Amino acid sequence: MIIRTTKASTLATSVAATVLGLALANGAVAAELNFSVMESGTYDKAANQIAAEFASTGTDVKVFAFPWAVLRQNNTTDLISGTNQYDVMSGGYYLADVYSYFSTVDDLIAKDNYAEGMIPGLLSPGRSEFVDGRSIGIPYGIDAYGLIFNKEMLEKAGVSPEFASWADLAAACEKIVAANPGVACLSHATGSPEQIGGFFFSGYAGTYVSSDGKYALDVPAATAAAEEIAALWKYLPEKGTALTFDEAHQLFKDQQAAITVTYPSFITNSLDVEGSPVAGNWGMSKFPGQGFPWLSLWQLFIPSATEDKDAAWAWIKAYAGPENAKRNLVEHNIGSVWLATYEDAELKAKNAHFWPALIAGFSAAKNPPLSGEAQDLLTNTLQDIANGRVSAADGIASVAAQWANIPVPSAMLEAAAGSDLQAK
Amino acid sequence: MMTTLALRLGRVVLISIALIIALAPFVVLFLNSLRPADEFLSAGSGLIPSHVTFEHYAEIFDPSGDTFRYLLNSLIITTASTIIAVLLGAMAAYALARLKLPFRLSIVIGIMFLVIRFYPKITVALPYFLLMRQFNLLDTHLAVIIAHVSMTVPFVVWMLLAFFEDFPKELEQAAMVDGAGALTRFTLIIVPLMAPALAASAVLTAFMSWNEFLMASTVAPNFAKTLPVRISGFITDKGILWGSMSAMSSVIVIPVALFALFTQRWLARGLTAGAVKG
Amino acid sequence: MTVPETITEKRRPAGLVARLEGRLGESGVLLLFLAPALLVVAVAQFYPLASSAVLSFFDWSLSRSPRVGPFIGFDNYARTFNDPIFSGAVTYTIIFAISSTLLQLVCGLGIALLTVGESYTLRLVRTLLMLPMVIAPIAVGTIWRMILAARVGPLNQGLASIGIDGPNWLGDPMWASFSLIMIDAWEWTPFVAITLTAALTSIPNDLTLAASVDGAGRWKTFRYVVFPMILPVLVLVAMFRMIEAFLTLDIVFTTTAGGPGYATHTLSFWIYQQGLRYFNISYAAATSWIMLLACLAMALGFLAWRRHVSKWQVS
Repeated sequence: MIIRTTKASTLATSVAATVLGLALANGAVAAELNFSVMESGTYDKAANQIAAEFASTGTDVKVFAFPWAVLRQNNTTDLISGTNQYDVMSGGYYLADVYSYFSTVDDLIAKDNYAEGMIPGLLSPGRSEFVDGRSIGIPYGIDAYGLIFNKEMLEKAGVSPEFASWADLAAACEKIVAANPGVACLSHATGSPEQIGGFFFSGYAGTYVSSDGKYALDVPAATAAAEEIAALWKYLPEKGTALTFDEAHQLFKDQQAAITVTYPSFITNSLDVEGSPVAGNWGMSKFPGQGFPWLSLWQLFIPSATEDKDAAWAWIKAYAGPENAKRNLVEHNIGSVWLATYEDAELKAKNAHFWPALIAGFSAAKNPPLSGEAQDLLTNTLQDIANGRVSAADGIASVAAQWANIPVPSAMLEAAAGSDLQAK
Repeated sequence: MMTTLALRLGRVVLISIALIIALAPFVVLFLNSLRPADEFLSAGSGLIPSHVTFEHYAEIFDPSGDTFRYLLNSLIITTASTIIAVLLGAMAAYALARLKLPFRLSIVIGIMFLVIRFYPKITVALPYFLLMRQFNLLDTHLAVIIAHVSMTVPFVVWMLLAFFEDFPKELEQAAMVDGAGALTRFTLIIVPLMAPALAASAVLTAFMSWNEFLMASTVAPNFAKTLPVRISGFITDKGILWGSMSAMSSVIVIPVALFALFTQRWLARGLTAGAVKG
Repeated sequence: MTVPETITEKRRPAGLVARLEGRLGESGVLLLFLAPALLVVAVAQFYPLASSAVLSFFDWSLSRSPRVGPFIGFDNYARTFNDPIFSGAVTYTIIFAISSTLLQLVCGLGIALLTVGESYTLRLVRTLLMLPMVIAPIAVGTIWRMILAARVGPLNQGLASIGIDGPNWLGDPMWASFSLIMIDAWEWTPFVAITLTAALTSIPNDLTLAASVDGAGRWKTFRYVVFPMILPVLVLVAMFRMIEAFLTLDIVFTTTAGGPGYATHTLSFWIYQQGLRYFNISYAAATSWIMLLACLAMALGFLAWRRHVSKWQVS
């Protein structure tokens, strides 16, 4: 009996020890820099590539890649819980809830004259991130919503690829569909719930924050914008209201859609590859609407809790700085934030069919000053409007009513004021 | 005679339909894990891949990748959770069945265990995350194991309580006369006799732990990441990596399906306990 | 059961164990048995649960402050009454849970009646039919998302090949609501089937035999003998399925993400959004507690119903 007990307890102890040992062995080792980034097959690949080269500086950068929603959640919980696992984080304006946990980078930028050569205006509120007038985010990947069209199909329909508004596009769609039987006018990542925002932000010319600092819409203008979107949704491919980005892009590549509205960096690379049916047959035009093209500006943040800020800054310069910008663009299609990349003669010639529109988009693009909650409420309701679950008037009225109760993070107030999206 | 034959035929047809509905998704999943990547996005590619490819398996089992670690994590967490949950659950159930607690405390404790099934686990996810941080256990196997044990122990207790109700008291009484205390009786009489019931609860616990997503994703986002958490990573902003996701899902699903086939007797018993006696 | 002889002179407890048992006494040992399980559950479930109960009376949203705000009484609970998204989620969750549970009960009972029996083939069939419920719910979602993709998914392609124009499963609000019900029913019908098979097996043979001797047909035997016998089990199964359908999160997460728009926001998904996406921590806590209380009430209702129907049982 005693022997049995002893055996059992030894076993239990060793099992416990193994489990615990494995658990402990998993803890992070010091003298490393932990970097969180989106698992996209682009940003993370570039990070691993640069990290391997960066090892020569004596800092071992560990790259933690997550899909977007998980990245956002992990970054946020890491900060608010004081876990402080990540020394440098990737993100954008949707991290507004936790800006107060980031350290300012103004003096680092000044010290190295880092902003010189960057696309003008990127380091300003409403585009990159600010707290109390001080910069906290270093941009490394830029993209802005674009409209990409199939030249031949538009020519057939006698439509010129300039659309002042979404209503204009809908009118053109009528002709395009008539001239190209079996082809849908528009493909878009309708299955990504937040993406419908791209149509609204450009179609709506009003403000998002009232003069007294509450979320507020110009209701008639917003309703009109929502109605235009609902009208446009009729020109999606059949059963095309839950497309992924990949599906939407594939429809354009297979010449089953005449126009695709998307983030250009997701697709432009693959349109010109050998064997692509649309190679040489596509272009990009100015984004429609009186509002703004939705900006995607990935930035790097240094949490205040990061111990070795110098190492963090060195890594930021390696990853986001001008040296690797061209390679990041060519190999990973990460939109460069550096002017020099766009002056590169070879690239300029190669991309002449879309770079002018792309770069014009960059300078017009903004982010809406919305917290995650306010933005989800808007985009989910827009989806309901586009799918006919609710009328535009009722939907927008409901958004306006609920927005009044959603707090505006202070960083977003700053952004709204800085980007002319607050009512005077 | 004819009607009996018609009835039997009808039965076979209905069972076949049920089997097709239940199993077709597994076939689709497996076929998709062997489908070339460029066939996922175009209509008209058919159910059967144009040719079989192992590229997705090669990709997820790329030596530089972490799939083996996630697999190991899942194995460690499932094994440890199962052993601990069954052990603690069996002890607790025995105690609840034999203890004469005042104020009907046994019933209260039993109901407390039942309540664990009644709320969304998100309720506890965030406070549990903060607690694990206090213990410095974030992103460790132990954090996930504790969560899984706490979720499965109540099941084990409820299942085994039903067995104890039918357990012949005479066996224990004889031993008591011999002077055997509770610990001795538990290890020498209860455990051997309860082996089938313990196996049933172990199988059930193992399935729950292997499949669990929410708590694992909350407290173990990196090092101790499990396979189900990894799957969600294939839904990216750009799209869904159908090929890799199918391959990874097959890796999670196939062992479980085989395990279910081999353990079906205990599994069925475990699942029905609590609702049906015995 | 041939154990009684084993605890005899030879294996009389001695040494450490006996001393331990002597020192602690019968109840002492048993309390020690109970303690670890209680401890784990208390630490990992009840403590977090209690702390969320406390938080639900405070004002804490991370977009306002990183620290817990002031005590605001029942305001978080009151807020739910004026929240159209919450009431929409409640409505869909109720529709989802009831339809899915009913579907499962009907199909599950059918399968149980079809597959009851002890032959090798039937046992194999039962095991195969069990597979949907043993795989990870997160994988269930991804598999079905693949199958239901409206333009490129195998289901609509299969339907097209026999001349049916399949619906926009996940992109149309009505169809998306239905698709989730279908997926949940696919996943959990096996649970109902297995449990009811066990219940059917436990009915004494002589009862059904007696009925048929009395000249009762198949339907009458089922209606007046078999069904009342399994009704208590059916009610219990309905309770478990209903509550779990109420808490559904994983499959929503990987198929529709609550969309299109708000069409398939279940309560659990909505609480997830509030808690882990918007970090409205106290509001999420309050709604979880409302949900917990609703589930408890539902369980009590089902248990009362079960007692009621059990009274009519022959045994």
